[in-house]
Amino acid sequence: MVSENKINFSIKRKSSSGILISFLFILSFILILFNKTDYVLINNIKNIGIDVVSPITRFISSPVTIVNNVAIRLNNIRSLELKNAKLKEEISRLKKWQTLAIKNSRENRVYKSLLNSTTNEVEIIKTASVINESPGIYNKFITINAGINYNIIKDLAVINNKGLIGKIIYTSKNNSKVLLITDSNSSVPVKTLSDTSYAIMSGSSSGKYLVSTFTKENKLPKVGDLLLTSGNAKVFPRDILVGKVIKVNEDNFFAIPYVDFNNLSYVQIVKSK
Amino acid sequence: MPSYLNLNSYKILNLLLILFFSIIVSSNIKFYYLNLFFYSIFHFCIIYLVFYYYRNVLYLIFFLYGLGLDILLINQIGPHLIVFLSVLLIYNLISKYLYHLNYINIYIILLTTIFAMICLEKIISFMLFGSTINIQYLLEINFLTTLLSFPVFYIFSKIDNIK
Repeated sequence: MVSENKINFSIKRKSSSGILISFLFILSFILILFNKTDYVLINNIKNIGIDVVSPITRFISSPVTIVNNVAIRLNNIRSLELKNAKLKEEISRLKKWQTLAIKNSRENRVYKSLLNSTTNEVEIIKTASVINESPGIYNKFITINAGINYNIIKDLAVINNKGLIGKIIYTSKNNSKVLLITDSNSSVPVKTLSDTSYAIMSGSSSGKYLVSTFTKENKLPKVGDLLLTSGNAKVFPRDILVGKVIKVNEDNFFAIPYVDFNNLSYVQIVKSK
Repeated sequence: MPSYLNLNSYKILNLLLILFFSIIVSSNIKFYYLNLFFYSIFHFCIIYLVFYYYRNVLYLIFFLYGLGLDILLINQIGPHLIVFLSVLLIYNLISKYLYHLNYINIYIILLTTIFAMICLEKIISFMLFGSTINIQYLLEINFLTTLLSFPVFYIFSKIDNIK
């Protein structure tokens, strides 16, 4: 009697685990299918992932983050003297530029008022801090601590004091994900400072450079040219600094981004005025 | 201490899995190779649990880890979820043939499975979402995995001794 009960229990257990396994496989394929069709359920799951799981994982991994930050601090201290000398040199060089910039800015304002032209300034929606960076194994993106509650919507441009960082690809209530311009899936319409060359830049597979995927009328820029957003796709506001051309091939060119993606702390979400 | 906390080797491996998962997804680590290191060790934990601690609840655990990694690493659902569940299912089907193998063969199978998992994740990601397959990345992580394999399996075998 006892052994019969045991056999029945074992059969029941096996069938229930079989049901669980089948259910998980079916659920996985449904999730993958819905993910491709951008179903609302997937967005809710992603919201939970970003808003709920992220703080927990951040807490668990905080000791490693602290050790990592200490290592970076120590490394910075080691090269302090060299950096100091470089900064002093840069300050004296920038002071000359500052005088020139003030003069030009004053002139610009006067010319604009004379021509009654519209300004091309950007409207800052929110300044947010970076709470997470992707490890670079798959896509290159960052998570920032501002979401729908601060009117952050998909496709808004993200910048910092040095230039263009990327665009918002996903927003939840409190957080947003920003696809960096160094990701190979990103496309940024750019132009040179002199308006002679227009192109579309994507991230390279290494994530260190930007590479042109399309050049208008095959007019390639020169090495050293500055690249700014052209505003053509109406995603990125015009005239935001993107990078500097470092190599020109027969049919494409490479640029180095102005933003130091290893030291992102605060970013600004902007749109054209 | 493990006995005081009532921790056995299965629980310790699961705790390690949580730790490595957290480090991977909430990465503020600026060193690229350190990220690869943790990503590789996470896969070692996964495969070790599959081979030596197989039980049906792992389907649920791997489902959650797969989903978590997909959402937090790629912002899409697919590659890790498919690969983790498939590895469990395939192991379930072929486990009876693995019992007769010696330790070197097991070691090679474990290592090959990790290579296959990492490559498949990238290939599925490419097929479903068009992510680029970076050959240099695959070579680097597979080289790192090979380097790490012996010390990691040695530590895991020590964890196995904890009752």
